[in-house]
Amino acid sequence: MRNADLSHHFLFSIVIFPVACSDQLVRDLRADAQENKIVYSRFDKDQEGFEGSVKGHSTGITASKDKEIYKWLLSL
Amino acid sequence: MILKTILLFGVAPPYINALALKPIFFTKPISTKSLKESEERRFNCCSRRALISSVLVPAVISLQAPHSQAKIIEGQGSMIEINDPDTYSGLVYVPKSASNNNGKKLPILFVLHGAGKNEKDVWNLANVNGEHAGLIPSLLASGQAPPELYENFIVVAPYSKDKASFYEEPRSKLLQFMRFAISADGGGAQGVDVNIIDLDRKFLFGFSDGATLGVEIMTTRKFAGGVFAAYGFTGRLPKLALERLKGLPMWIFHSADDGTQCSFISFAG
Repeated sequence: MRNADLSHHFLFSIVIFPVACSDQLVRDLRADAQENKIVYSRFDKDQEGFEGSVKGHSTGITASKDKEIYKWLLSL
Repeated sequence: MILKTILLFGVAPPYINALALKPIFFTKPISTKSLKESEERRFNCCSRRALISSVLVPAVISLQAPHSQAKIIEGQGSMIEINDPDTYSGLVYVPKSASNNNGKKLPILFVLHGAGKNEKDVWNLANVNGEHAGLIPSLLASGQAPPELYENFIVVAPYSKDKASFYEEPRSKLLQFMRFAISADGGGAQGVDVNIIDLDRKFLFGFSDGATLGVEIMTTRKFAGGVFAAYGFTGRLPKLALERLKGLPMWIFHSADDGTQCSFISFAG
């Protein structure tokens, strides 16, 4: 949600997220977890073969077709 | 040197609603030269967004015309459209096995898409050539989903029509849609058999903007776990958020070459 008082200041918002975002999230979650329930699939390179400016931004697809995540969810 | 301020994370950061915290902005000065470079990156990012849509998987099954009542996925299940006039429209997938499951309830997976134009109708989510191609709804609709998914999960995918993403609107609206989808007089009145939903096994899946939002929504502790890909909050989670996330299972996906050419940047006017 945009802050109503500030939204007029923003000319645009572009969302491309570097891996550092997830790195930090995982560090924080693991540091705070009483037991480790955080799984991290951090790939060195794009798993779907994307190139150019879309390179790397395909993990939503990688995760969607990964049968292991559904097995994992069912095991919870 | 002329300094300008870039506000990284132009949207209000997560947890403002859920945790009643003040927004946190991250600022750094840049030169006019850097500003120009940033604008060039912005242009590239826009192109990148369009390219994501254009390079994804080939069509396997063409969807029916918009506003069709249901799409049958041969041997797997069916997908219908639901509409909450107060919040969002969405797609709901129900496995074929649900009809002869001897009363066994199924987990439900809410799928939050990433940013896009979202100008088309809700079936845009399931279009194998669309801007959200490759994500769970399109995999299901095209018969490409793994059996572990299509046999075991009810899937609900809200759609932020005419908004870049759910990030532009209150979190409460999204949660309201989720409640609608699983209620007897909401989704139940529009064709969803809500009696087969295991309410103790509500899960989240989010990509990009949807991942950032998904982690935030996990702080409500209404979900038993989540899978998040290309999460994008650049700051540190507040202590209160971490406390609320404690013990919740999450599976995080990210690629090291994501975002290496572009950054999430909003400019102060």
